Amino acid sequence: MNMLRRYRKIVAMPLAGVVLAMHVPFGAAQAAMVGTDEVVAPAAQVQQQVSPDQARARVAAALDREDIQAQLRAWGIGPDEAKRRIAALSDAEIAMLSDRIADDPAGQGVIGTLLVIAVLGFLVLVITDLVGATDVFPFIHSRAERQ
Amino acid sequence: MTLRGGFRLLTLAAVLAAASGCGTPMQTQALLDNRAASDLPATATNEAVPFIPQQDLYCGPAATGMALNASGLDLSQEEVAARVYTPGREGTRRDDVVAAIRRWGRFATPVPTLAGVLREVAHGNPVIVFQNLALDVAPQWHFAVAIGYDMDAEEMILHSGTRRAHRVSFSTFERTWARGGYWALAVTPPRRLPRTADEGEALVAAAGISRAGNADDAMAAFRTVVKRWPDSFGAQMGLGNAYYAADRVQEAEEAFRAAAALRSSAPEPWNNLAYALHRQGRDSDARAAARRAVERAPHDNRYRQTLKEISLAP
Repeated sequence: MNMLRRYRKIVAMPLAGVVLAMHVPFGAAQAAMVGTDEVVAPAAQVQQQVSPDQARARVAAALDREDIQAQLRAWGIGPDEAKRRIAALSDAEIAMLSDRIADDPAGQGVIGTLLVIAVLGFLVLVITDLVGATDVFPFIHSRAERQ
Repeated sequence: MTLRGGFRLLTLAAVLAAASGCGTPMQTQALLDNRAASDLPATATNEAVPFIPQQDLYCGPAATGMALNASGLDLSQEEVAARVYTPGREGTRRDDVVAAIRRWGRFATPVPTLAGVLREVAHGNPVIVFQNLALDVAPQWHFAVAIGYDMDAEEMILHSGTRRAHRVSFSTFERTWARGGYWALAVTPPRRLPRTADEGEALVAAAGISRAGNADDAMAAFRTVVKRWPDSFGAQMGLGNAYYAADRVQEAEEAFRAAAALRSSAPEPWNNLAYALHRQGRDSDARAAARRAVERAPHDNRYRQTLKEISLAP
């Protein structure tokens, strides 16, 4: 998944260049309203023409959106809902998200405690092993055993 | 090294880790040091944030729901879960929280400092915080809502999980919050901005509402940003686009003209103004505006296309 995404990004860059070089009308952005995101995004705050960099970023963002939606669907979110969640994010936010979506942390709250209990349980057993109350781990030798 | 030697080393590491956890974390220290000079009230409690006790795995929906309901909505935990919860992760991701707040037409701006969180709370704005309640090696990711604080007791007050108005020391809060990457969002209705938001953050938040929310909220949000920063080029452009999307083309025209006046070299407002005039049936004015966009960026094909499109249109 990650590999594929990186591969697509690598492909997207020259592709965007080719599209631009051919002066082919480029998506809906050609001859249309300038969108709020284009003006508001930090990169666009320095007033400038649509540069190859911006156009490349736009192609990459479109591909990223596809990838992230596919990931959300794989996580059990319906296709319409996945689309709406992605639509609410700007290209800049999509670019950041696409790099980390696979291991993006998800808040669960109280249930995640199972793992904590397991770790704590381990530590408790280590300590009880050390004082000789238990004998779970072969690599721990209690004082009682040593004497 | 023998196993026992290795174990001693581990114990030493654990003791060191525990000791490092005992010092006062940086932001808490700064907050307490600057207390005398600060204009923050000594205590604050935001009664307007209704408590929603989280169901299993639903800290994200509960926290998001509490913050949204404080701004005048009446959402259930399940309704929010449909937009923020990810079944395959058995949890809620942060981007979905941002997206959901925008979809419900509310401002969401980042608050990366403890002093900032307190300031928002003191102004009556709920702050969603992302914490790791456990350890980096065994994380327990959690969303809660900051609703108050007590400077004298050095405590934060949170609606957290199943705990209403849970009190936790600034130090402990900062450590759990730092492990969550200092991620926090202030949430406000479209007619009021979070207190700590700067112009760029406010614009990003309003643009997000434009992308995702309804037209009324988008117009209200940009009107709010324009009111706070009347000289903001981005705010006037966003306001114009929001009006245009709602087919209020005369108000759109006004905003695009204001943007053009703020940045005389910019082609964007003239380009959009051309469309707003065209939709009012003022074709020669529209063509004149489109030409002014082309004059400002002669090599940009986009603006030539606009001129062509408007000239050809019936």
